[in-house]
Amino acid sequence: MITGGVSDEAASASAFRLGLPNLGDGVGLRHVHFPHLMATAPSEWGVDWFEIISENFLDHHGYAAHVLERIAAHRPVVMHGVSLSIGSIAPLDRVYLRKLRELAERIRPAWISDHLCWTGINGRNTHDLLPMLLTEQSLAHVGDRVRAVQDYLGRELILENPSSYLTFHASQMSEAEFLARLADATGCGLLLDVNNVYVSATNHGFDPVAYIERLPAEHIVQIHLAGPSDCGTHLIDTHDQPVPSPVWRLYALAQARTAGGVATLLEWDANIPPFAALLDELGKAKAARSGAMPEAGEVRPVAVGALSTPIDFQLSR
Amino acid sequence: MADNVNDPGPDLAALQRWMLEVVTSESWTLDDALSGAARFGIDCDAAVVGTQRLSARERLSIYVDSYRMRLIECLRAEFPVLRRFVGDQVFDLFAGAYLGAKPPSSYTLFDLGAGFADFLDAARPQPNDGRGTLEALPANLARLERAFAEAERAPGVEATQQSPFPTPFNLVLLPALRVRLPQSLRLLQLDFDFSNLLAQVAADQPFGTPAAGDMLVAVARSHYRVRLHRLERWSFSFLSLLRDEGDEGGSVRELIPGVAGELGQAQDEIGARLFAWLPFALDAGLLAVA
Repeated sequence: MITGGVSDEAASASAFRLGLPNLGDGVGLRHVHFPHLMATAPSEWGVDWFEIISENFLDHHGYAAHVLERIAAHRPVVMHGVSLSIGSIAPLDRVYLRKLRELAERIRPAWISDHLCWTGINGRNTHDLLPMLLTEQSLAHVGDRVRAVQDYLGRELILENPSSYLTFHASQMSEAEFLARLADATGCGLLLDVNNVYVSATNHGFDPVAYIERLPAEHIVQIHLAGPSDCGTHLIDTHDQPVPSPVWRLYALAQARTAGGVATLLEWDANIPPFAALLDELGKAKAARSGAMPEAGEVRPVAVGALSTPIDFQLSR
Repeated sequence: MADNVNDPGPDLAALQRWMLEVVTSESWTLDDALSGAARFGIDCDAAVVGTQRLSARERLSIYVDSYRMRLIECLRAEFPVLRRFVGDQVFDLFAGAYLGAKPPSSYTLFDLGAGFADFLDAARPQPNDGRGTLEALPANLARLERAFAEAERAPGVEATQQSPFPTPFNLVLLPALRVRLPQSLRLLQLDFDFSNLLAQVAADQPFGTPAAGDMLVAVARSHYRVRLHRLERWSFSFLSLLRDEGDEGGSVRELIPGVAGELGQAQDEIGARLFAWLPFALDAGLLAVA
């Protein structure tokens, strides 16, 4: 139930992660929903908070910025980025960081997140979340960069576990261990994407439950939910369908590990349904937290050509 | 994880350089892409974990395929009319060649299409037949669609549109009252009349080839809507001269002699036209009070 913009459940939650609140249940702010959100009273929006793709709003002074202004006036907003490239060997992009900080000063997000990945080097940006080599050397490198970003932004950085489609023989630790040690060393927060855990666990054959149990619960400040696609030989993180049963089970486990609960965000970035349908899917999160597994199907198969990290949501047109 | 006890394998930098080279390669096959990255001394099967379900190469291919698909999708989204006009196959050839020549470097996908029109222009067979030929059309259309994308995001006039505009009388006669071009305005000199094509593609209707001809247009945003405006020579000249004044803007009265001189018309005639046109121009986001 929504009262004054924040659900009772969220308002009563006493647990804080790194001093950050449990924002309740939110959805990604996508341009296809702008008309609905602008035509509807904030009291009728039906969500506790919104997550934006940071890059969509950097340098944007048009309608999207106008919508965001209204959203931020009525709900908490979280900035979620895809171009920080925290794992890259290239120097941090100072222009990007400055613009990120400027946007944060404008909309006062509850926190700023990005992914444990690299997106490019040598002046190139692949606009993909490329997989990390998980070694002691990488850990030290990423740790230094996380500290630098946190110093610059003046706040904890929240890092998400990405979906991945390959691992390296030279890796010396699991991704969960890497994230746990990174969080411990830098004080950064974790955005636990249970869909990504499921995708990567399926693709690489590790135990998703063990992965979640390896993460330090006290550093988890947010959970992502989404639906992947089954390509037969592997899963792709398409964000284009309902959350499947196995992901709901991981979600329930993750929430149970975080006493008091953490903020939940439903991602839906391609074939985006009407806002009401999005709310129906998000509503299942509450049931899952209470121990009742929501009705959900298995991962849907997809024909060739499924695109990870879909671009619809990164474009405003 | 630690299946490299005796062999530390490639370090982070070497692996990233190798993977970027393969993923962004312009090669048609993975084998060619791997050959192109051979100088890094990394063997795919030795570096990437393969399983019974997917070999190391197949896993790497997921990233290789996604790179190209994602960026072409992005260009398709930014240039929907050009895509419809030339068809998917030709558009993807344009896009693929462009990505090879100008791979993305910015943190935002919005920058990806910035050089597409110039690329298409430069890619025309040389010597070309000049303006207004069918070969010139893709670059012209790309330039127009890019203008729409830029106008959509740039600082606009919406904040100032809340207050009443000055009267045309004051705008034309008071030198202290200055106007400027909004950052969301794009002035273009095109070789085709694309207005019908834009409308027909938007309505998902059949379309023909746009008529060739010298077209002076503005792409402007007002009340957060971006529109194409056909301009006459005098209004195009006025807005072009105003553009030269920068953010400071200029007074309408002081710009009139320049427009009249450029077109060889009487200043009174230009003044009268501006008098009638300025209220519309302000409302349409073609100019703003400085």
